[in-house]
Amino acid sequence: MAETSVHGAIHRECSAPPLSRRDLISGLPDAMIHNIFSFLPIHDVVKTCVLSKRWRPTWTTATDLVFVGYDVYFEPPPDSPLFFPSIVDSVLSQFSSPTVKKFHLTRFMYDEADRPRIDLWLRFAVRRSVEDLRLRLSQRSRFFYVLPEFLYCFSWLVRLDVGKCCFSLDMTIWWPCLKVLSIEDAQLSDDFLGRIFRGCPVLESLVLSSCEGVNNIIIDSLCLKKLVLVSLGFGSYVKKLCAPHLLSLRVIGGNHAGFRLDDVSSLVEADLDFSVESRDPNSKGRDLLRHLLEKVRGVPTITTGGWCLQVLSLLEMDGVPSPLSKCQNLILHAPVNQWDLPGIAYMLRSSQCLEKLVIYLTCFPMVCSFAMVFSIRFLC
Amino acid sequence: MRYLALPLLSQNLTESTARAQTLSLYLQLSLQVSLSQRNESTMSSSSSSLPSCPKKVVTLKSSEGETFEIEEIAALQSKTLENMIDENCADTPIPLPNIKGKILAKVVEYCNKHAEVGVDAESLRAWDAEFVNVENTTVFDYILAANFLEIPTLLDLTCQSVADMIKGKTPAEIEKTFNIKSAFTPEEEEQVRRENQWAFE
Repeated sequence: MAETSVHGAIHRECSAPPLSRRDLISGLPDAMIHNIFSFLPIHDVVKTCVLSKRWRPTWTTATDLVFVGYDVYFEPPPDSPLFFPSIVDSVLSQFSSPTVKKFHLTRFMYDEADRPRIDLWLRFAVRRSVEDLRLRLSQRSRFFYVLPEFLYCFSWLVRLDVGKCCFSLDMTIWWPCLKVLSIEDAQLSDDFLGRIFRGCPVLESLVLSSCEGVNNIIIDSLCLKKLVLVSLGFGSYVKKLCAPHLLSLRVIGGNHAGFRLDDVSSLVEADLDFSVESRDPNSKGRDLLRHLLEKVRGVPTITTGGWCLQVLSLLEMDGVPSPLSKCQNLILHAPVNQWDLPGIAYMLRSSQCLEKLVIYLTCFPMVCSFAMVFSIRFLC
Repeated sequence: MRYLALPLLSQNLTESTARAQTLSLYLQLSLQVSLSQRNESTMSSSSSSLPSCPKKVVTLKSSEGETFEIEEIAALQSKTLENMIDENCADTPIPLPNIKGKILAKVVEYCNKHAEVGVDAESLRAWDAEFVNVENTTVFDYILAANFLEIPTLLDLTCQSVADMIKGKTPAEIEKTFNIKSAFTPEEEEQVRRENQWAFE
């Protein structure tokens, strides 16, 4: 029989559990937890409701909604709880925050029948003053989503990113707070681009990716500092760019054959990472590259690589004189095999003011995860 | 002569070393040519000269009373400090009773690093990854400090790292990682799961 002692009660010290075993995350204020949620897709966010009583309602007052679809049609089927539009509807119905800072909907296989649903979702976001709106439908969708009229005049938008959507080219645009605009896979026009520039007085960065119908880009705005032109398709492409106040230009992808730079006198960095497909790769590509290098002669930071570097190698081996440039920082993406070394020499020869050379060693055509970085600093 | 520093961050050294040596030789030859041509022409002074005026400094005081100095240009990363500098309230030491000395030192280090010029994006990313490669408790202290001082880049960095610890994990795994005590009865938990069944499939 165990002795029970009344007087010899043992006093145990009630110490707090060791620091590393306390639940610190639940002690964070809701605003911080919402910030953490902003980096998670919606199902990870909603899953937290089962962690504890403190966590149960937290996701419903978050300010960011990031929905990522499955990129396939009808899988799972419409009657399954995993059917993507049902998930979005369910989340939105439980959502109680008065504002939505970020609303992202990506990889959604769009069908014409979905149009009223997406209209409703966008209206939900717009009514909650969304600032960061991304609507990137799956590239494999059979249809383009026609953007609703109420989206063209919206004062809260700061970032807009759309892919595989249709614009009505005669609409007036008014996005007075928009700073970053990215449009992929859309039919545009020079006039519509002008409307965008007029309707977005504080636009700082524009990305046009595989957009057809744009021939001449004229940018007068003092705010627009960064332009990225991506071409992955085979349609007609930008013929001329005149942007005297632009600071940063990137030209990526294939099929820029007819591209010409007019006035880019303020450019501080230029990234020429494109290729030209033509029956005679020698002449068209060489002319374009020589024209572009001539135009970016005064630009302090130049990035190039891949196809461009190989064409430069051809120019070097033909003994074509390189235009003298004021480039101070040269960044190259190259596998540095025997085809690239003459091209690198061409660039070095023309860059008399060079102070820094960075070479990212790649396995052409893809950048490998173990790319090496050389950083060579010249001290004068 | 100038130096050529070639830090190599590669997993596959043999082939890369051969390439590196070839490249370095070729570059040295090209460099000799271009630099000797440049030496012949008159050169204006390089842009790396130090400014002649003394740098302005802000003093921060931690919860234990320890003081830390931070250059004004680095302090501008904090919206709170930027406001105080604008309103001329930053001439005396600024008390930060919510932030411990150990954490404040690291926050100052972060701001200094991010105010440096000429750091390429790749190495800054690597530095950031190393910065948040610490114990959970420290990351949470960073979050609270970044929130209080309104340093958006640090807040995003730290919240992203916590999000990475949550992403793709089951609730049980999340509870274990962060020592969260559930306090739901099995019936309550089942009901909560049923409300959003899709998230648990």
